[in-house]
Formats: sequence, C-alpha cells, structure tokens
Amino acid sequence: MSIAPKQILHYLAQPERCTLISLVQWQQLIWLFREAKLLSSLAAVLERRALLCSLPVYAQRHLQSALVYADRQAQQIRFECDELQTIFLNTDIKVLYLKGAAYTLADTENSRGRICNDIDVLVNKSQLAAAEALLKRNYWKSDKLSSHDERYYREWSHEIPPMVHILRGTVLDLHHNLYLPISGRSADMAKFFELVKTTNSGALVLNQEAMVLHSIIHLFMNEETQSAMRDLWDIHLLTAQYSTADFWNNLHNLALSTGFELEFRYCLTALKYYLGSALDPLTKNQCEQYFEDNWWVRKVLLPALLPDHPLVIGWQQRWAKRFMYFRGHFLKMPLHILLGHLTMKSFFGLRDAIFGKHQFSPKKN
Amino acid sequence: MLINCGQYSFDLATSLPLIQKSANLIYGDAPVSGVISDFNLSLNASSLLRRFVKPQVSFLCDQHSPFKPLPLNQGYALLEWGMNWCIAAHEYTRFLIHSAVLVKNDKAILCPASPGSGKSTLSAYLGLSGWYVYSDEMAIIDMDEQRVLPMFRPVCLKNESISLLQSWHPSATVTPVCRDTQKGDVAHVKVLSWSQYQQLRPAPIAGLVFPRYKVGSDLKIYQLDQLDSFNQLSHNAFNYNVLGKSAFKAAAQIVGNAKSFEVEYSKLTDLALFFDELVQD
Repeated sequence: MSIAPKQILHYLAQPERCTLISLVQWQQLIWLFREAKLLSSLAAVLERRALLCSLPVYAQRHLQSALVYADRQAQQIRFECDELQTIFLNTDIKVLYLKGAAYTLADTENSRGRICNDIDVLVNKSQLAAAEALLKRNYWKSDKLSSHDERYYREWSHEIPPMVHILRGTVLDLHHNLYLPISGRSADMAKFFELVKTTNSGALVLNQEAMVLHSIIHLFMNEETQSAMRDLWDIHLLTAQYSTADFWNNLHNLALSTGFELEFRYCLTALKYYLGSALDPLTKNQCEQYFEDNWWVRKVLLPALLPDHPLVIGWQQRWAKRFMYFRGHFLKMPLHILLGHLTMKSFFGLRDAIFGKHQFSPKKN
Repeated sequence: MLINCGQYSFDLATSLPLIQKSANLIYGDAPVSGVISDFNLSLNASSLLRRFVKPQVSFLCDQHSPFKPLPLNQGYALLEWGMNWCIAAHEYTRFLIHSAVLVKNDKAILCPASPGSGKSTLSAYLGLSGWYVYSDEMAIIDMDEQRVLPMFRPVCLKNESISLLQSWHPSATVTPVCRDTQKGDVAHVKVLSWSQYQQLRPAPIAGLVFPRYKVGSDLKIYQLDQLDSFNQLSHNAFNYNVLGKSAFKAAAQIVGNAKSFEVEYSKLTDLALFFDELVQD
C-alpha cells in the first residue's frame, strides 16, 4: 500500500483509522510524518483519544518518543518566554508572541505535540533597535552573516537576523511586521497590536482571528513548503476550536481589510481539499463559499503543500513546490531586487552542487 | 538492504560496493525478512564533480543530512556513526548513555567516558574473551527497571588498537580500515554472532567504571561516591536534557544500585581481572 497524498491529514483528523493499519503501513506513516514534522502531533491526537496503547509496540515507541521531545520543547518555550517577560518587564516595549510560541503560551488545540524550531516575537518597529540592544545585554547574540544575508534582513525583511541564547542555544526571531515591508503588502501593525489578548501566564498573543490570519499569511505567502501540511493542520485545529459564525465573519473581514483575502480563499480551498469530510459544518460551509477551482490551484498550489517525501510526491509535485519557491520570493520583493537576490542564491546553490555543500562553509573550531 | 541491529533496524540504500560489503560482513547473519525498519538511510556519492575529483559520500536519514560529507573510503564509518545519530536523535522512551556496556554472569558494567578513554579497545578485548559487548558506544537502558538492552553492533576500533586486536585474535572479523577520519584510522570488528545475540537478555547494572587510559600506569582504582558518579553519568547521557525528570530518577536509581569506580590503567589484562571481580556472584 502507499499513503494517498490527499489522505495525510485524515490520519490526524480521524486517528481511529490508525488502529487498522499494518506494520508496513506504520513504517511508511512514521517516516512520512517524521519528515513532515507531524509525528508528535499524531502522537498527541492518538493519546487524547486513548488510542496510543492499542497500537503495535513499534508504532508506540516512535510516537511516544516524538511526544516526549515535543513536550520538552513546549516546556522550554514556556521557560524562555518567562525569561523574556522578565527582561522586558520594566520597559515600555510590548512583546507579542507569534506562531509556535503563541500556540504553546495560549494552550491552543494544536499546541500539544507541535514542533517548532525557534521562538518568534514581534515588537513595534520604533522599538526594534531598543529591543535588540536589550536582548544583547541579556545573553542573546546574532550569528555573523554574509554581507548579502545581513542586507536581506536589515533592509528588506520583516525580522532581524536570528538571535541565539549564548548558554541555552535557543533561537529567537525578532520581528517588526508579519510580512516583508519591501513586498508592499506588509500589515498595518498598529491595527494588529489592537487585536491581541493576554494569556494566563501574562504573555501577549494575537487574538483568535488575527492568530489564524497570521498562520494563513505565513502558509500561503511563504516560499518554503516543507512544513506546509503541519501549518495547514494548525489552521484546521485553530479554526475548529474557534468555529462560530462570528469568528468566520471576523476572520473574513480582517482578511479583506488587510489585503489578504486571496490567501484566505486559498486556505479554505486547501482545508476542503485535504480535510473535506473531517471539517465541522460551519467550516465546511465557509469552504463551499470561497472554494477556488482553477488550474493553478489544482496543479500547483494544492500539490505544493504536500510533504517533500517520495512516498507522497513525484516529479509533478516537486515542480509545483519549486514553482511555489519562486512565487514566494516574487511576492516578497520587487522584481529588480528579487533578481539580484536569486542570482546570489543560485550562484551559491550552483557552486555547492559542483563542489559539494560544505566546501565553502566557514570552518568551525 | 536491511540492517538489523536487534533493538533497531535500518533500511539502507547505497550504490557503493564498499559499504554493502562491510555491512554484509558485520550484519549478514541477522535475519531481515519481516523486519520493520525504524530509519530510512541512504549513503551515496555527494555531488556531480565530486564523483570524479576527491569523491565524497553523503549520509541521509530519510530526506535529511545531519553531517557533512566524508571522503568515499570513510563510507562505512559514516554509516555506523549515522546509525548512532539516528538512535540518539530520536529515541526518548529509553535512557541513552554514551558508554560501553560489558556483560558477564547476567550483570552489566557500564563504562561511560569520553572518546579516547580506551573504552572501545577494552570492549573489543573483553568481547573476544568471554564477555558480551551490549555496545561499545551507547548504553540503551529501559526507564522502568534500569536494565541495559543488548544491541547487535560491532565495536569501533581506532588507530593502533586495530593491529593490536588483530594480533590477539587473528581470526576476528574486521572491516577494511577507513583511513584519516576525524578519529584517525577506523575499523569495525564483529564481537557477536546473531545466534549469540539471540541468547542475550536485558541486564541489571552492577558497576559503573569510568576508565582513563594512561601509558605505563599501574592499575589504580578509586571508589566514587554517589554524587560524583551521578554527575559523570548524567554528563554522559545523550538524552538527559530532553527526558528531564524521568532521566534524573533513572540515573539516581542506577547510581544507587551499582558500585562506581574511576580507574586508571595501561594493561587490559589488569582491568579485565578487576571487571571479573565486579561481576562475581
């Protein structure tokens, strides 16, 4: 058997189907979900439904391991955020937690078992330099970047180069916008700073609609598609948790007023395509209203969301992913800047293809 | 091909005959039919030009490459290290310690130590003279009863110990030497047949011995108190920081139930006598 690409998220949405599969199927599922950063999310839903202990030992061990790792990461996120709260305590800088960190702090439905690579926070652009300086006085430092990468972050990006905690190695991304200013489509942050709520632990996160919209922007305007299924699963669990008529109205209005309606439609299309029967009636109704059906959506946008694993994608889907990569860059930057950026990137890419990947990496020690 | 290490198995795709040959030499007697593998590995030549000039081999765990490529002749060493990496980076249901595990009379002695302490040479020596090597590199311990699980793996020999071992045991099964790796010259020696491995059972930990090889030294044995032993044990654990509290408890149990020693030695025969004493009934 092989895993039907369209069915990937159904294993998460209807975990009881996991109790029916053979050991060989488990092997494929574990390999695929591990690459898609969804293995611990699968473990979390199976545990919530008390199905974990009825599975073959082989599956239990891998799922349990993934969950232990994810739980430890969540603990670390809570710890780091406490530390950050203390650092910013006596300043007037408001720190807004985004994405994975926000899910964990707000304890949303999707947070259990979710893997994230770094902590994303956002501050007001006018306070960015002060926030960076304060972090640097508190054991956070930036790695040395090539002059091209440094320029990318400082001039064009919506975040500064990643910061690393000297002692604990945690990575922090400090943003001043939800999307690149150079694109001409960045969000009005004064508006988003009004759409916030405070978690039980006292941290600031986006409210329901803004949180979901940010996930949507991140998924459908990004050039990287490796974690796309994980991000779509996030959006599914968040919308299922919040799903009321008001929520959907507010989300749609917010998408309209911030210029992200197309991404909102893409998202509903993807939810319908990959989750279909598992959606609640309200969400299903929304999906029917905004479903996009054209060649570009069917042949490029939807297949590009699949995990980059030979078990579920072939050459066509790989081309779709490649196309999304260029599209993501194209959305980010005006053409003349993009061409320069991609020339640099393809020069380095070509060089690595010929000479081997690490020939030119800075030597450690 | 499929590599069955008992506790873990690996699907390996490689077009490099040197790696296939060594893997067959070490794991060829283990059964493969019906075995479900834990990790999907591939080892292949890295880039286009590199196939002709200074050829290199890249290690992939499924779609990811955790290491830099190495020269082609180091391929088999890269495979063995890669297999260790897969286990250490994904296993969080068992307590993993960077340690050699030697078993006799159903009692295990752990030698957690940094590279260069001589634990691999010690493992190979004892493994070919009446002891069972559960691992030369990684103790895999079940969290509930703190027993070490056997692994069907070779011992990794470095530099002079390769020829030393071959002089002690001329008939031992040893892979071709990988020259000039990060750890110097490296070869792998088979210390268990599959039929021997099948007889092995999880073993309780009777002793923790932290060895230090020093040229010309007489055997010096220092008893360690529980705190010192705990510190060194947790320091050598791969997944201590992820397991957190449960690893702390397991380490405390192990230290409480086993005798702990720091040992300075130059002669393996002396050390072997001491080890024998530790596992006497």
